[in-house]
Amino acid sequence: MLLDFIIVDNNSLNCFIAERMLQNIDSTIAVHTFLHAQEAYDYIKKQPVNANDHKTVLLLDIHMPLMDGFAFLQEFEKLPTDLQNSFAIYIITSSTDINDKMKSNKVSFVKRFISKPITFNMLNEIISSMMVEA
Amino acid sequence: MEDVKILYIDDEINNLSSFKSTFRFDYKILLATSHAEALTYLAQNPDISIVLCDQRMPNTSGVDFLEDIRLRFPRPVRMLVSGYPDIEPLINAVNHGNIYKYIKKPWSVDEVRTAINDGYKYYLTSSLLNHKNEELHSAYKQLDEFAYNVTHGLRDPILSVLSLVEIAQHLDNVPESVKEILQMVGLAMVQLDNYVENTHDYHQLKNETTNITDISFEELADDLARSYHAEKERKSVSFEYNIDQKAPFRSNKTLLNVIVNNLLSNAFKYQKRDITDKFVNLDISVTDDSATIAVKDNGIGIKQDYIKNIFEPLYRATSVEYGSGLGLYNVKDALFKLGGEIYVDSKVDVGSTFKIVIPNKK
Repeated sequence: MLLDFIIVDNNSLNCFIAERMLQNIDSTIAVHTFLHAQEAYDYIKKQPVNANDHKTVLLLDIHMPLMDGFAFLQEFEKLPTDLQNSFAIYIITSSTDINDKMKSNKVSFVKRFISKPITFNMLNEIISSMMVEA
Repeated sequence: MEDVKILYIDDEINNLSSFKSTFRFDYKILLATSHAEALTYLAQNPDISIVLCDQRMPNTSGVDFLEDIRLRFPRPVRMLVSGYPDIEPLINAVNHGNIYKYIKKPWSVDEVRTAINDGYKYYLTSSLLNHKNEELHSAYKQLDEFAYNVTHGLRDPILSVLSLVEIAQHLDNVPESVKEILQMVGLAMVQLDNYVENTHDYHQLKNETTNITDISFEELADDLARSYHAEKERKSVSFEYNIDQKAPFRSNKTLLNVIVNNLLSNAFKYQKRDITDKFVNLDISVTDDSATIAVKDNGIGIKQDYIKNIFEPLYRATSVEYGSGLGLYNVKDALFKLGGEIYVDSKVDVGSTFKIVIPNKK
């Protein structure tokens, strides 16, 4: 299974952290970071559909100005199904609000809701669960 | 009193004109001979404070008309005027709060003036009350949003620091002595984060409406196990949980989460430093009637004299670890809302067991 990552977080520090940790785990993993959900969406829209043995893991923050995580998911839902299937979305947020959690659990293509801080453990877990799925 | 705007409805023109000629210097008066006309006036004049309506009107009775406008135009004070004491509908109207006063025909000037003046006072008070209520509602909403934003704004950088500390811990070229200091930076951040979370819980509990949903304790425990994974590793505490859910359980998820999360947080926090077999156990059993949740540890325990105080806000029974003094207060508050009970069994240097029983809101 070939994995690459997209990180969407309006806080550049968080993007840096996730990118740095992923590189530390496996320096061959490609990582794209976006500070604005809209830019991430525009980028994703133009991507070719991944091959079967290739998934793009999308780490998505919820609380963002302009287009927030939920608005992003709403737009994402409108993409062609085969393009949607190229992605595995994980919501990573500092929000402890249970309502946020329930809201995102309702969206079927969200793999999991994960609370910050981002840790090596968490990223390793995501990577190995993607491998198992393959 | 000339800013008092009155709408008088009667199908007899003579009544209307005599009313107007009597009171035209005292109040602003609008006259209507039909309900349709009255409705137009009400829609166009939101500042009408008093509506007087004759009971005997073609098509709809005065009582029914006043009931109708109570829903569509709730602000004006409603009064019924009638020459025939139809006692039955009148009693109903008064009892349902549809009319403020009943004025008997033929009316006396003094009686009407007193009724209007009283009614206007009532109108002012209830308008003010409504206005204040709306203000209060919007203030609450703003406070909610504010609390949410502050929580997020505070937590995000704290959590970034925690991640950065972790990155530094993994770097080969960082000396051990620096890593030790970084670990302490991380601990301070965990404390601050707990404090923010507790304060957020406290606020959320004050506002939580009891929204009841299906609860899967398996899921709840899995989530908690995940979030305590790091602390369990760091403190070398073994953590086991047993879920025995025999029946579907319904309760409020937010409140339940606050309760179990706080009890676990304490169990992990107040461990002894010098022993090797540290443990935290979570046992949950669910029946048709209730859920029993027990959190057990072999930590430092609580002195018997202090147990009665631990649920008081800001009370702290130990200075061993850092705490906001809100955790168990939040637990008690959440339990009160769920109609639950808590039992504490604790011995200094042996450990503590917190057992809670929460009714199933099936």
